[in-house]
Amino acid sequence: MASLLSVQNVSASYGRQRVLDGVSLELPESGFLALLGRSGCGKTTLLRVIGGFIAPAHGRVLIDGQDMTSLPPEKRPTAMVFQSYALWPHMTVHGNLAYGLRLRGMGKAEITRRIDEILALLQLDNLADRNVTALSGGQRQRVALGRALAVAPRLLLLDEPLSNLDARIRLDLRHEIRSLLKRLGITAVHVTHDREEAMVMADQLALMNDGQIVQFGAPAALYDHPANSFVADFMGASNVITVDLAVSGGMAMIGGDDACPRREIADATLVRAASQGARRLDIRFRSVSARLSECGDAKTPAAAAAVAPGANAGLHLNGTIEQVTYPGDVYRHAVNIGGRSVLIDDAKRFEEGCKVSVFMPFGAFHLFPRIDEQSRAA
Amino acid sequence: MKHSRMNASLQSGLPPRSMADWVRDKTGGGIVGTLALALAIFVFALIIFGPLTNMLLWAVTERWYFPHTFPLQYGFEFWHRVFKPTGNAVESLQYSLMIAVFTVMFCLSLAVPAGYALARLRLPARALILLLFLVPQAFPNIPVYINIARLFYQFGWHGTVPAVVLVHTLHGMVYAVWIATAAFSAVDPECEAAARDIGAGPIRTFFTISFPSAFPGLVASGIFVFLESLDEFTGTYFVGAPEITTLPMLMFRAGMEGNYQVASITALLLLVPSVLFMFVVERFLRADVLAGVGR
Repeated sequence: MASLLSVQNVSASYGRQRVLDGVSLELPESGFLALLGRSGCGKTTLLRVIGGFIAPAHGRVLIDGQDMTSLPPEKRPTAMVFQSYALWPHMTVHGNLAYGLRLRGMGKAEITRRIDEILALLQLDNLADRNVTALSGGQRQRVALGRALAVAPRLLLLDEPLSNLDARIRLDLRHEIRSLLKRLGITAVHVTHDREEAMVMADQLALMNDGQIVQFGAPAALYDHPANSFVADFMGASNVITVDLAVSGGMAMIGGDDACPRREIADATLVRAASQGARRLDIRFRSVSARLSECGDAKTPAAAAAVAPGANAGLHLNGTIEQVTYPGDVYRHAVNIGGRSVLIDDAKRFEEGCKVSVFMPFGAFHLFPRIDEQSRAA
Repeated sequence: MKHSRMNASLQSGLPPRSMADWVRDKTGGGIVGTLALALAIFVFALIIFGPLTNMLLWAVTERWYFPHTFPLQYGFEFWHRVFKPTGNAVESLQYSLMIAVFTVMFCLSLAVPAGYALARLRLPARALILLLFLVPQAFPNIPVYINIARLFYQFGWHGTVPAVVLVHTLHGMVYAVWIATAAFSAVDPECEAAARDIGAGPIRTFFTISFPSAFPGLVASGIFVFLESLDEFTGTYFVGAPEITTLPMLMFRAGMEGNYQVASITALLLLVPSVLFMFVVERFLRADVLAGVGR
């Protein structure tokens, strides 16, 4: 399928500071792409390059196969919903929506008909003559969306459209906007720093860091198979334990201390990384994917295996409970594993100071071999 | 009593509630404090309203001389004299209004593009240029005007309406540009970006989005220029006299001749637009624009 939007090797800078560094991506018709990342990662800059507000230093932006790189915003078939909404305060809702249609030379009757359609679509009926300054945040957001949709753009650009709303309204609007855009078959690029928002709304995620796309793919792909430690961290696997890594007889050997008893894992990627010189291994996991069990005074691997049957189905770590809190649903334990503190949720409450065994089934954690200074020297 | 009050004030950690409270605290409260407060208010009122009352009295006086505290005879005889068709007050009023209107038009036609450009400039450069507009105000007025008058004599512009308008414009530019810059700065650049995004070119964006959004501030700027022009005396005197007689010049001449009635009536006339426009300005000039003046 031909791409509706094609970004080819785009770089951009503010003065000396490089904010986009060779970004490329393709988006098919009716696709919904979320540009995800922390503030300053270049996601908004990329959106503004696509919209025509920032000229890239290198690279091209194509829409429907046509080069848009040198065109000003008004000549591009894009429409943006701004983070601040940027509604025109000296106009009514009708005036804001009609602006783009008048520019396109549409007749008065047709404009009114079109606007009524859009107001109904966005559940803003009866607000046409209201001044935009007299609207609530959620209503302004809808008017901003309606203004962009009214001109029937080929590509809709959403710049953190939900970040100025209350948490409650934000959750509702995520689903509303997604189903509306899907119904209309609109192609959209959405900028956000909220992982959950991006995952709920978009079909494709582009996770950005330092002006580059770190990983591109479906939300589930980034969540379940993060390409590196950064992606895993951003996608919620923020607990990290670092253990030793070695290779022995075609098997990867990990751990070797009290916290992580030495064991072997048959993982081709790990073996390859270890033979290439990686001597440390980051184990990343989510708070919900580990299980706790009391290990009393037992510290040996054999005893730990006895406590949790089926040791080969996953990974065992030993730790001490540092703190217990209750955010609701489950107890959240701060567990010290080999000097690193991690958060683990469990339905059962474990008291502070209690020695515990931490079990994670395979697939519930991510392994990232690390070549640090120490191992490189060796 | 006094100590307990002070302690309470200290314990609560709050400053006294009002000026009246402050005076009462300082004077130990009671009748003495209240009297001191009343006296203070009376003195302030006298300073502010005394000259105005005197002017109002003179405007309706027919006869009033030295030993008498109040006028001997009241009446509107001088109003008739000032406003009769052959009187020079009507002509002065016409000159004043015409010059003020032209000054506003000329000033704004310069201040709107200048204000827009300055509002979109980065800060250090903007502050410097805004400061530059203050320069004519920084020098002593009279030497500046004498030199302008000399130049205008050479060009043969002396004593003409355009010459006076030019001088008033020089004087009004600082208000016009500062307020216009603030008005355009208060326009969200994203609102302009949104218009561009939806298909408007830069010129259309200016006339449909930027200008209407800044309009209230521009009205305020125009009013300030209008009032400044109406009140301006020194420049008009050097560049316009004797051919051009505006209301302030009429007032000056009447005052110098000891004709306090005519001077007071003219002053009242000058007061009317000032008071009227102040209400308008107060409505139009939003706080966010005001906060941006000179930035």
